[in-house]
Amino acid sequence: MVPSATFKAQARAALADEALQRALGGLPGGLVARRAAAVRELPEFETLRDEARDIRDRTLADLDLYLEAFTQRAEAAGTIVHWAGDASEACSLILDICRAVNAGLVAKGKSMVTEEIGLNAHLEAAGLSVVETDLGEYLVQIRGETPSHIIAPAIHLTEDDVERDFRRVHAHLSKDRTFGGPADLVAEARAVLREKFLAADVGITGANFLVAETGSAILVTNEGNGDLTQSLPRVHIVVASIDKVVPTLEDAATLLRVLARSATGQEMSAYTTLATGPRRAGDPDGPEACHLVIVDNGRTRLLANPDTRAVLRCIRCGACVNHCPVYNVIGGHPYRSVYAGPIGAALTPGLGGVRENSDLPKASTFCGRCEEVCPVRIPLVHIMRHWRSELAQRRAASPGKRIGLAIWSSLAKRPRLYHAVMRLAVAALGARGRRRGSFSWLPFARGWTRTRDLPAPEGRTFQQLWHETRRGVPR
Amino acid sequence: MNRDHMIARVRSALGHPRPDDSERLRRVESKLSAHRRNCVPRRAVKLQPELARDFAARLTAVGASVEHIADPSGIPERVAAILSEAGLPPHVRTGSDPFFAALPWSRADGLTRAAGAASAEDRATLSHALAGIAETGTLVLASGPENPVTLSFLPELSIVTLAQESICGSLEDGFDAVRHRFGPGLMPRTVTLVSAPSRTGDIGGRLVMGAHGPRRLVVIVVGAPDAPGGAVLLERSSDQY
Repeated sequence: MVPSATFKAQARAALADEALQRALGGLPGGLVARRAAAVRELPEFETLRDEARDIRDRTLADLDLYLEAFTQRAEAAGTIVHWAGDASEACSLILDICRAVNAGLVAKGKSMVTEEIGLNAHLEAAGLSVVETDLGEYLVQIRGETPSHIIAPAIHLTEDDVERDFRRVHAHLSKDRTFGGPADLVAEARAVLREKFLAADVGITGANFLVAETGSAILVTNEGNGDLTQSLPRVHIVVASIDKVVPTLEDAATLLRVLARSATGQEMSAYTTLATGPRRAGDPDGPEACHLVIVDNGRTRLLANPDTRAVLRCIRCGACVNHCPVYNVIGGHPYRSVYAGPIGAALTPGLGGVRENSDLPKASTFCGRCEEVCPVRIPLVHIMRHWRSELAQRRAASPGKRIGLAIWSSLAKRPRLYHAVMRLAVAALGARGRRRGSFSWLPFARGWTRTRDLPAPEGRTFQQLWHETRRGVPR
Repeated sequence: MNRDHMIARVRSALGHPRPDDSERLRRVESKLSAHRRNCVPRRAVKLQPELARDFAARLTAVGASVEHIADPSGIPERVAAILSEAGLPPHVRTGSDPFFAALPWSRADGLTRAAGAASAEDRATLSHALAGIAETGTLVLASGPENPVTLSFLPELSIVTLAQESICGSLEDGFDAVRHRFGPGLMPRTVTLVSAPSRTGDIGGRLVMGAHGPRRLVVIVVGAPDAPGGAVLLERSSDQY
C-alpha cells in the first residue's frame, strides 16, 4: 500500500507551488463557465443526460452481445480485432503489430487507455520512437511527465513553461527565434509534429465510442491530430476498452450532444470522425491495415459489482474534474493516477486495486458537485464511499482510525446512549469554552484546530433545545 | 486472449452463464436494426431557409466563414478569390470528383487545380460535403476517391462546398444521409463531421486556431437561398449531389 502521507505531501507541495497555482488559476473554472453557458443554450440537456445514462446502462447490461455484434461488423469492414485481458497483454499485442511491419516511428493520438496500460514505455523499451501528437500530450511527453487532466493534459503548465521546453527540445531551430504568444508556440509545434505524421509507420489512436451497428470507431478531437494519425501512416491501431461500445449511430448522436458540452462547452468538438476499417479499393489515402485492440484491464471486475458498474458509463469528458474543489487547488499530479479528480477516485481503485490507490477515494469532500454535472449521472460519491468502506473492511485504515470508527458506529446505533453521551460532551465543552467562545486546541480534533478555531457549543444539544421549545419552556 | 475468452469473461461478470440468450439476442438485434431516435433537440426540427441560416450562423460563431452562391459554375472564381484574400498561391487540391471536374475552371484566371490525395505541400484544398447539419453547424464528409480524407486535415485552408438542399436539421438526419448513400450498416473508411477550424487550448488555456489541421475553414453553400431541404435529401438518388 502506498502510504497516504505521499498524497498529502504532494498536495501540500502543489498548494505551495506558485507556478502551478498560476497555471491552474481559473482554468478549470473557465471550463465550468463555458459548460454552464452551453447547457443554457440547450433546453433538452437534462433529458439528454437521462437518455445518455440509459444508453450506457442498457449497453453494459448486454455488453457481451454488443461486443460480438460490433466485432462482426468491424471484421466485415476489414478491421483486425484483438483482445487483451490486461495491460501487459495489450502492450505486447501492440508491439507485435508494430514489429510485424518493421515500424520505427509511431505517431499517437490522445488516448487515456494507452496511458493506463503504459504503452509508450513498453514500445520505447523495445526500441521504437513514440511521438504524442495532441499538443497537450506532446508537452507532457517532452517534459517526462504524466497528463494532469483527462482532456487538458498540460493544464498545469504556463506559456513560459512551454517556451522553455520548446527551446530545450527543438534544438535544431534557431536559438534567436522569438515567441510573441501562444500562436507562435502552436505554429512551431505544428511544423515539428507535421514531420512526424508524415514519417510515422504506425498511427495509434484511442476511441471515444465503438458503434456496434457499423463497426466504426469514433474519435473526437479539436486539433485534427487524431485524424492525421489515423490517415497518414500505413498502419492504424485503435486501442479501446470494452466499455466503449454503443449500439447505434442514434445513440452515438445523443452521447456526442452531451460530450463536448460537458467537456469544453462546445456544441460539437471541431472533428468527430467515424473510422471503419482500412483504406478501400480506389481510396487514394488512408492506412493499408487497421487493427483494433479491445482491452479489459480490470473492467469486467467493475462490471460484475453492482456498486461499481456505473463507473463504466463514463465518456471521459472531464466535467467532474473541472468542478472538483479538491482538483481545482492541487491539480492532477498529486493523485498519481492516470485518471485524476473524482472519476479517477471512482475508477482507478477498480482498475489498479483499492489498497494500491487508497488515497484516491479519500481525496474528496463528498460535496457532490461532480455528480451534479456528470453527463451520464455516475453516482461518483457512492462509488468513492464504496471504496472507502472496502478499505475499512480490509483493515487498511490505521488502528486509531479503526478504533475511533468502531466507537462511533456502536454509539450511532444506540440512540439513547448516543444522546446521553452528546449531552455530557456538549455540556462539558460549553462549560470549558464559555469564556473564550471557541477552542484553538482540542484532543482528537487537530485536523480541524490546526488551521481554524472550533466555536464552543452553547451547552445544550439541538435535541434538548428542540424539546424545550416544543414544551414552551422559556429559555 | 481470444474473442470467446473475453466474451465469456464479460458474460460471467454480467451473471449470464447459460449460453442460451435467444431473448437477449433478439433484443440486441432489434435495437441495432431499428435506428430509433432518442430526444432530438427542438432547435434541429426546422424547415428551410431557417436550417441554412442556423447552419451558417453556428459555423460562423466558431470561426469558420460561410458564403452562398446560386450556381455551381461560380465555384472556381469564388475559390480563386478566397485564395487571394488569404494571401495563398492560386493553386487548389481537390479529389477525383466528377462534380469538380465538370466546373468551368478556365473562368478563374491563373488558378490551377490538382486532383488526388493531399500532400504536405498543398496549402489549400476543396472538398465536397455529403450533408450539412444545422443543429451544430456541422459538415458531413465521406472519404473516397472523390473526397480523400487528407484534404480536410493537411492544408492551411480548407474550402468545402455543400448543396443548399443537403442542409438538414439534426445529427440523426446527417447519419441518415450517410446510410442513404452507402446502405444501412455500411460505411466508407471515414465519415468526418467538421464543426470548426482546427483549434487548441493546450497552451495556457488560450484558444489558437490551426493546431494541426486547417487554420481557416470556408464553406460555400451552393443553391438558391430559399431552396427546399431537409426531408428532400432522402428522396434524391445516391449518385446525385
